[in-house]
Amino acid sequence: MTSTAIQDERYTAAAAEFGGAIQRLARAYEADADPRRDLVQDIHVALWRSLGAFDGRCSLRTWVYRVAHNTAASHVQKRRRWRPERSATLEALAEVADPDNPEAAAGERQALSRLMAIIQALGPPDRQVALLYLEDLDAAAIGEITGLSAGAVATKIHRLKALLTRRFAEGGPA
Amino acid sequence: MSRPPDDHLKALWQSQETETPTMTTQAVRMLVNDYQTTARRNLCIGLGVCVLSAGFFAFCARIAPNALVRIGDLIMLAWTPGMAWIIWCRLPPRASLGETSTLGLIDFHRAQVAREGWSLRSSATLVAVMLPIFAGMAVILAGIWPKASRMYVQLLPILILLLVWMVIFVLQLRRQNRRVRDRLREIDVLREG
Repeated sequence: MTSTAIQDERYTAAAAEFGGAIQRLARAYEADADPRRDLVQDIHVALWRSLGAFDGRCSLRTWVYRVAHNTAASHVQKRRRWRPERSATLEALAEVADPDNPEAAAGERQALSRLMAIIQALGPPDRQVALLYLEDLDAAAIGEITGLSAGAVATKIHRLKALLTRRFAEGGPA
Repeated sequence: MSRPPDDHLKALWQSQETETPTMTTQAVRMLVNDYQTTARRNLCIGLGVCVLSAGFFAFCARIAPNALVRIGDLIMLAWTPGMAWIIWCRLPPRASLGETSTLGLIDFHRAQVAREGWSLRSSATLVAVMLPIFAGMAVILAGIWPKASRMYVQLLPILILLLVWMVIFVLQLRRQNRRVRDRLREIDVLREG
């Protein structure tokens, strides 16, 4: 089998397994539909290109998430030059009162919108940890992808959980 | 909240509907080809400019009125590929997205941005790039330096333009440094999260 065929095969497997996660990630990084489609495309292209150098030193999952998050972070950086983005830290968000009416946020859809709004308001490193946490990755895997120490990841996850608990306890989903 | 946020929110997050189907390898290949075509086109434009410059100086050397001007033109001609080579070498390398953690990538970008700022090293590189050009220009200027007494009046606009260019260059350098500092600050904020 040629190297390109192997690359195609790896890409097909990765896209099939992580295609949904890539789209969720893009949604969290880019609120506008058209740039989001571009971002998804860019991630897939970066993934296909990178898989030519994939040597199995880390898991395919770690590799895919690294490529996806790094492409998204670059996208955010480029967009910030044209349209400054207001983002906050986990600590700052925790101190801000939730403006939503608790009754209005009853359904799953509203809950998802609220969750998305919280995630999109985070700065990229916190957002990245939050996304990986919601994708059900453990602290060690998150540390491997982000480059943060296990302790820093644990702290961020702890703060994120506290923030989400507080937000959703105030009038969260069913 | 009736349920702990962990499992419920994870399930909620992962149950989102996807908007577009997963891309096929053919579609990705087409996009990669588009990107490569753009990169190749930019490279061709750069090479074209170098070839045109080389052709221009070769022509000037051929029709030079005297030996001194010809030497100046030949210095410029010889330096054209050298300058293209230095610019090519200074192109930043690409980070491997899969092998680099996000913090690693941010540090990589930071280093690239920091390189754009003024420093002794970048100035030395700039001098190395520009020195042969100035030497060539000086030799050409010496070659065409007017023998008649009032010919310097004709060269005055060129000298003024050179001076203006240098002032603009210094101002541009200061502006770029300010921009680099802002971007570095932004990157540091991004890194700290």
